[in-house]
Amino acid sequence: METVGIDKIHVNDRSFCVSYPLEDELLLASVAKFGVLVPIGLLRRDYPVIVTGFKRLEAARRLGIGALPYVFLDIGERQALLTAIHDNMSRPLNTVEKAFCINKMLAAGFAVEDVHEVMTTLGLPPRENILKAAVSAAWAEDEAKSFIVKHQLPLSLVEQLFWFEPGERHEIIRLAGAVQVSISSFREMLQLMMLLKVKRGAIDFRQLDGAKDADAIRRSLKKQTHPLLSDLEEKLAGLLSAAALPPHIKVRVDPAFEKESIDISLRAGNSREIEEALKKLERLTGQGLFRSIFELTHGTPHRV
Amino acid sequence: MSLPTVRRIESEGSVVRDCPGTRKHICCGYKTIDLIEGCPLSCSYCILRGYLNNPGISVRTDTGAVIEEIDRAIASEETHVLRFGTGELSDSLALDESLRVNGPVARFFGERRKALLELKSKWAALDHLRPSLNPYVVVSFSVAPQRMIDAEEKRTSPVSGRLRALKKAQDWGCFVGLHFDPVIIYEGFEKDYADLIDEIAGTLDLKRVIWVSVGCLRFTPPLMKLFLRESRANLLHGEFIMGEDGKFRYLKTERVRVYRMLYDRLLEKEPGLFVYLCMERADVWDEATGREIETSEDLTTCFDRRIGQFYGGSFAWDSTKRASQGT
Repeated sequence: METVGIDKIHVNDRSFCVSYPLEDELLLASVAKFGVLVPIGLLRRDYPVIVTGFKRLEAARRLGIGALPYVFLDIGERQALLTAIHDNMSRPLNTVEKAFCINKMLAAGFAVEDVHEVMTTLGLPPRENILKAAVSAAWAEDEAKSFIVKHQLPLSLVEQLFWFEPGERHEIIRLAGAVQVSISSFREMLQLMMLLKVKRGAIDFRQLDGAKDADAIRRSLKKQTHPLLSDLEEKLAGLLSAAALPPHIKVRVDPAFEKESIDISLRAGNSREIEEALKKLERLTGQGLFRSIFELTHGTPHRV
Repeated sequence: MSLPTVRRIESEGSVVRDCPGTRKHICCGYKTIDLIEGCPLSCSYCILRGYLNNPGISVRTDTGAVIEEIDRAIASEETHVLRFGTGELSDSLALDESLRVNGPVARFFGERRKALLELKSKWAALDHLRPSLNPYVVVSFSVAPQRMIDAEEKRTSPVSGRLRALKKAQDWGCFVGLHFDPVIIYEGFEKDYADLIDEIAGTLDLKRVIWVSVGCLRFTPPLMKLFLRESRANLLHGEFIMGEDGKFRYLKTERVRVYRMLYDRLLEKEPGLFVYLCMERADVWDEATGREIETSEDLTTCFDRRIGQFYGGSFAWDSTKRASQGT
C-alpha cells in the first residue's frame, strides 16, 4: 500500500475532523504494535487534506511514525464531511463528537432537514434546542468539552450548562469535578443553580466550596432556593430523630409536604412484635410526635 | 392589536368539554366552549404555552352546530346550573371585535335562560358585544397588580381598563366575575394586592359580583423549563413544589397564606362575596377559608346556591327537579 509522509499533508486542517479527543490509548497501543493498518482518507490537493483517520494520524505522530498508508477520495467537500461522519459512526460517538458532526454540517451549508436526518441517525431528537446545544458544545472551551465527555452528558444537559455565563460554567465544572456526580445528580444541581440565578441574579459559588459530595451541594443549593421547604425537612428530620423509631417502624411524609396525611408502616414477624410496635406508636402519640408532624403537613396554624 | 394568523375551521369534533380540572384537586365543574384555540395576548405564564403546539389561532365558524352542542349539554344536565366559558383555550374577548364569535352564543344563552355563559378576558373591549349581552352572560376579567401586568401580561389591557369595562357591564345590567388567577408571589405582592382590592371596591358594585376566583400560579414541567430559560424572576420568585397533579405549585403553607390574605381582604370589602379557590386541595380550602369543601360536587353545589341568590325565580330552571334531588 502506498504511504504518504505526514509532512506532505495538511495535518492542521480539521475541517472534517469529528473525533474528540484525538488521543486514544487503545489505538496508540495497537499502532505501536502493528503500525497503521487502515489507510487514512485524503482529499487530493497540493497539500492533501485529511478526511478520515485523525486518531490514527495522532497516534502515529505520538509514536514518531513519519508516513501513513492512504487513499485519495475524489469527492467534493460536502461529500467528504458526510464520509468523515459515516466513517466514525462505526463506533459509538460521544456527545462532543455528535456536536462536531452537527456543527460542521451547518457550517458546510447543509439544509436543516439534512442535519435533522443525521441527528436522528446519531440518536438525537431533531429539535432546535438540541441543535443549538450541539453548536455550543462544538465551540466550547476544552475544559467544558472534556467535562462533557468524561461525564457523558447528553445534549439536553449541555443545553442547561451553556445557559450559564462562561465564568459561571467554569465554576460549575470546577465544583462538579471535585465531587462524584452522576448525570441525574448533575441535572438536579444545574436546575437548582438555574433557579438560584434567576431568583437572585447570581450564584455565590463560595458558599458551595467544601461540599464533600453531590448531595451536600444539592442540599446547600436547595436551602437557598427552597428555604421554607428545607426548614420543614429539617424540622421533620429532627422530630423523627428524637423519636428514635426502631427500624421496623417507618413514618413517611410527602416530600413536598403537600398531602396532609402521613404513612406509617411496620414490619413484624409475629404477634408479639406487632404488640410492641403498637405500644411504641402509642407512646409516641402520647408524647405528641404525630401532632407535631401533622403541624408540618398542614403547613400552617389552623384558622381560628 | 395586530391579528395573528387565524385559521377558520368547521366541525372538527366536539367543542363543548368539561374543564380539564386537575387530578386530586377540587374543580368547580365548569364547561368550556372552545370557539377559539390559541391566544394573541401571549402572557408569559400562560398554560397554553405548554399545551398548544400550534402557534396559530383557530376559530370555529359553524356557530349553529356549536350552539346545538351547547343546547344538548344543557338539556342533558339534571342536577346543576351549568356554567360555560369561552376563555379556556383562548381569551374570550381579545379577538372578538374582529371575529365576532361570542355574540350569537351570548344571544343563545339569553334566549335559553337555563345556563350561564361566562366571557373571561384580559382584553377590555366590550362595546361591540353590548347588543348581545343579557343577564345570562357573566362578564369576567382576570385581575392582577399593574406591576405584574406590565411584566408578564404585556399585551393585555391595564387593570384600570379591565375594571372600567366591568363597571360598564354592571351598568348595562350584567353580573360580573373577577379572577385573581394566577396570583404571583413577588417582593411586595401583599401590598399590591391590597391596593388592587381597594381599587376594585372603589370601582365596582361588589354586591353585583357573582363570583370571585383565587388561584395561585401553577404550571407544568415544560413551562418550568421555559421560565428558567427566559429567566422569569417574577414567576420563579416563590417556592415551588411538585403537586399531586404533576404541576408546580407554591408550597402549601405559602398558598394558604396568600389565600387567607385575599379571602379576608375581599370579604372585608363585601361580606356577601362568593370567593372560591381554583384547583385547590380540600385541606387548603379548609385552612384558607374555614369552609369544608371536600369534593368538586360540594363546590358545584355552592355555585348553584350562588346563582340561585342572584337569579332567584327568574332563572328558567326546573325547580321540581332540584327539590327532588335535595339541592
